[in-house]
Amino acid sequence: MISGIAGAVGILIKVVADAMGEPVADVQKRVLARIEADAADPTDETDTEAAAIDADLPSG
Amino acid sequence: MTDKQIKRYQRLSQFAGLAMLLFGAVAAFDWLGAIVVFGTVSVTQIFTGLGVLTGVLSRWASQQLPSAKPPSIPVGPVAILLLALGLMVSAGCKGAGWRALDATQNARDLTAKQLASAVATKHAECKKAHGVKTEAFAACIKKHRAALDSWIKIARPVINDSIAITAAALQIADKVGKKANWIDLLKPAACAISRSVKAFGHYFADKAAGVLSALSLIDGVTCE
Repeated sequence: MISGIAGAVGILIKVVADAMGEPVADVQKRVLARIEADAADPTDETDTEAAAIDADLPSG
Repeated sequence: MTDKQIKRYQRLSQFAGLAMLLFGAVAAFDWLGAIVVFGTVSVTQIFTGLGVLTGVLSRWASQQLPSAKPPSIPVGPVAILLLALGLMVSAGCKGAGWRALDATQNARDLTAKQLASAVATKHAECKKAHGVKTEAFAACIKKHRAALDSWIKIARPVINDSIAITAAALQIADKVGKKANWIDLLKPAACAISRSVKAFGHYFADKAAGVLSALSLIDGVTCE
């Protein structure tokens, strides 16, 4: 009976852990990698579009 | 079976059961990020494996006992109590801050993508209606170009700084074993995204809901 309860608790842990999503270590690595990438190049699609508009504006 | 053998199997079942709980709890804590020392998935897997092995040993030992002689320590209730406590502590630990940061980066990228897409559509419309290098084109695209400027020069730097500062605070807190006030630190980023969506979200048309949904995933951070 005890091992049955312990098994059920194990399954419960797994279910709760799965429900809580991706492991934090993976999230942390991804967040830090993106911060580094942003620091190296903070631009995004809006910069490309701004440059395209500026090229079409009348000079002066 | 002699009394000595029964006692031996009772002890083995109890200790193996408790060891299984310990290994399982360590694996669960590590998986949830509450134990900073064990930062890799492989550690979780090792402890999960040890938990399974000791669980099997506990079950085998308890099966050797006569049904009238179960182990005396109530391993099941103790397990439930310990693990419920562990999961509650784990859920409130560093994971929330990193997940909020991840959600903030996603909301920022989605906002930039939708803004660029909306402005590109307007750009094409203005170009088609007025040609390029004309005053009429400049007037047509003026508000959208200003929206880009407010994003590039004001909102995005605030968002990126707030994200970087929050991440640094979380890392420092991990190192010294203290709690970081990441909600306050991440607030400027959440507010800058929120204000941007309020200012030019109407350009996004039906895509605004997606950005608002991404914003709602920044748990615990509200922008009044």
